Amino acid sequence: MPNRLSGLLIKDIKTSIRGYFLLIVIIVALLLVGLINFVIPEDASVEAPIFYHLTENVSNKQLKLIIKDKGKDILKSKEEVIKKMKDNPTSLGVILDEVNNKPKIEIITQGYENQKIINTLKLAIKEELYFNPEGMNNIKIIKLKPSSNKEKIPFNDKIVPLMVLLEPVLMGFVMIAALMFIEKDQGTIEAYRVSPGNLSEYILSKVIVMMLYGLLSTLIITIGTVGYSGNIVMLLILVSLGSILASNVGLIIASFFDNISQALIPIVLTSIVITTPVMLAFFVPSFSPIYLEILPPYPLMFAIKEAIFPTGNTGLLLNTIGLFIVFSLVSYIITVLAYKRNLIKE
Amino acid sequence: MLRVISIFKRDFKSSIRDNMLLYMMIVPLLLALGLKLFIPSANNLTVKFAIDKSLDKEVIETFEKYGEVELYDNKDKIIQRVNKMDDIAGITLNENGLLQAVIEGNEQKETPGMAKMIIKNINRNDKGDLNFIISNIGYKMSPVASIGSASLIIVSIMLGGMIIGFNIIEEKENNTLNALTVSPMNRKEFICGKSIIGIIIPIIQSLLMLWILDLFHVNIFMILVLIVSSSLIAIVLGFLIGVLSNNQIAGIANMKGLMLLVSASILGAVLLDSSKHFLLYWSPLYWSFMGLHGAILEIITWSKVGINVLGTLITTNIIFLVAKKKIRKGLS
Repeated sequence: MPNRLSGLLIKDIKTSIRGYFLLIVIIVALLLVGLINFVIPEDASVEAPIFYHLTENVSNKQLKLIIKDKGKDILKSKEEVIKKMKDNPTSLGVILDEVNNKPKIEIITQGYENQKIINTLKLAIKEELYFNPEGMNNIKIIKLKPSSNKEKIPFNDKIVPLMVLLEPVLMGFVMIAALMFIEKDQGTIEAYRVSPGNLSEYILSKVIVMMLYGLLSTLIITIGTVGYSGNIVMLLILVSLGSILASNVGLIIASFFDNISQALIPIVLTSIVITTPVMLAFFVPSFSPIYLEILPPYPLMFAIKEAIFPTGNTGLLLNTIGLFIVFSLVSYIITVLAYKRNLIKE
Repeated sequence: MLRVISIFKRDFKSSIRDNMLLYMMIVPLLLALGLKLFIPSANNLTVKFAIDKSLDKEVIETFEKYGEVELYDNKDKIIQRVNKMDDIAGITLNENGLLQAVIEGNEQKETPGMAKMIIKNINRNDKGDLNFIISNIGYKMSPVASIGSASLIIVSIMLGGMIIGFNIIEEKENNTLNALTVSPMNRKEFICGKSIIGIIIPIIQSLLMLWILDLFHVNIFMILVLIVSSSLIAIVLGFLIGVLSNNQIAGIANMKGLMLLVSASILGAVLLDSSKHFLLYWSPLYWSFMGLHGAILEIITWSKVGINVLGTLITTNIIFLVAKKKIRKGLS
């Protein structure tokens, strides 16, 4: 069996290299490295910007203190605030005024925000107006993982885990179907049926090829951006398991179709449906509806983040690895059964 | 003209035979439906709190004013909840009966910050009498809805290009491309015939998607102008994928590379500050996205649509000029 598998592996690697796959994997990974290092700014943020204007009527010192460190977000007029807000659909505006020596504060929203966001902004302004360091220091915050968040990670580096999930891990999702269909067209799978090899080895070989490309891409992306920091071994284990699951799911979907043109759109659809909420959860970690928690890429994304930027949460890494071993095995068995069914049908 | 239509008919029939057209029509519509279902949960994003049930009703209600509250029986259950992957702050009483927050330590700064601020406000005797006026600039659509809708239209346009690309690869694999070169049809007719599907499908789809997303009140003519101009880049990219790829695996690999540039354009337009948007001026998809996003938000004028269309056309033209030789060689 090991000889047959290594033979199949060499054949699949050659087929994929001939299809420029290796080259594309390297180019895409390098493009991502370039994007992260040189295009995405270190100080970018997904936080909603707030633009301020202080009217001439204001004499209240505390009111003036609100804008003391707001820099370029202080604008000359209310009209300018509104203009800036129109350019930035996530922003809010605050106009600070004074009537009869009493602060009068106008909060300008876009119009879609819920009451909780408005209440939060009101509270934040109140907090700045009546700031009392003692009051804040008296409130106890218990950190369950004190080693977390010791240093601020630049925004561009922060998105490396997401890139690793979207490219190396999910790469097999689409590519493996293409590899399968090429061989289907060439009749390789029928020829293989009459050889001593079995279908499970045939599928395993393709899954391993995708995993190897995934690992190569992971190494280029992570070393090219955040360097050798983090737990590389854990990262590679997570990427390998994620890639095995993604390849198997890609193969299962492809098994329902006759050619890549047919399979491509459902595969792309599945990948968009799976990744979009996970991407939102990455940028806004408080977003965690139940349907998201049952999507395998969700825990994987956090585990990859933990492996790249360790906070000491070994439990998350081990739990995710355990979960993905089960997922990978189950999906592999389903894949083999799906292709056996197809061969019987043919 | 007849030859152009016959090429279109041929592609159309082949797509129907493969059920590809059906998938191509249905998939973006399903995505639109998914987005419609997804928007409410994304719009209600606020900080989350896991609160001890035994706390005063007033305290719980105060936290409910600012975020999403989950109630738990005791401190252990709160700790268990806080240890989950998402960001949530636990709120309990300490040994002195004072409110305290429990966090993991890796949350975004808003989570502990909000918890602290609310506790401080609860503890404060003088709640402060501030005169707040709330107004809005009249945008009823959240960024998730507007960015999601504009991105879906771009996906639909790009799918049109992908289908052109894979049709060409199929022609190459079946050697029909060689057969066509000895027919009376010239290259321009072939290109026009192949391109029709890449313009018609996104138009029909986008109209249906706008209907699903309850966006039929936007200026449909603006959207159509933007779709037609954006379809040109999808067609050029589709032809490029087709001629650069000798087989379908190479097609997918090339598509991945090109789609990365598409995603980068959209992500850049969303994440980068407007002062840094010049970094994306090279990308036709940046101009398309900005135009579609503005049209969906109904904040764009016809002159701005003109600028976006011009931007799309100029950059598409540059890409086409660079790729022209390759496409010509690949089709011959």
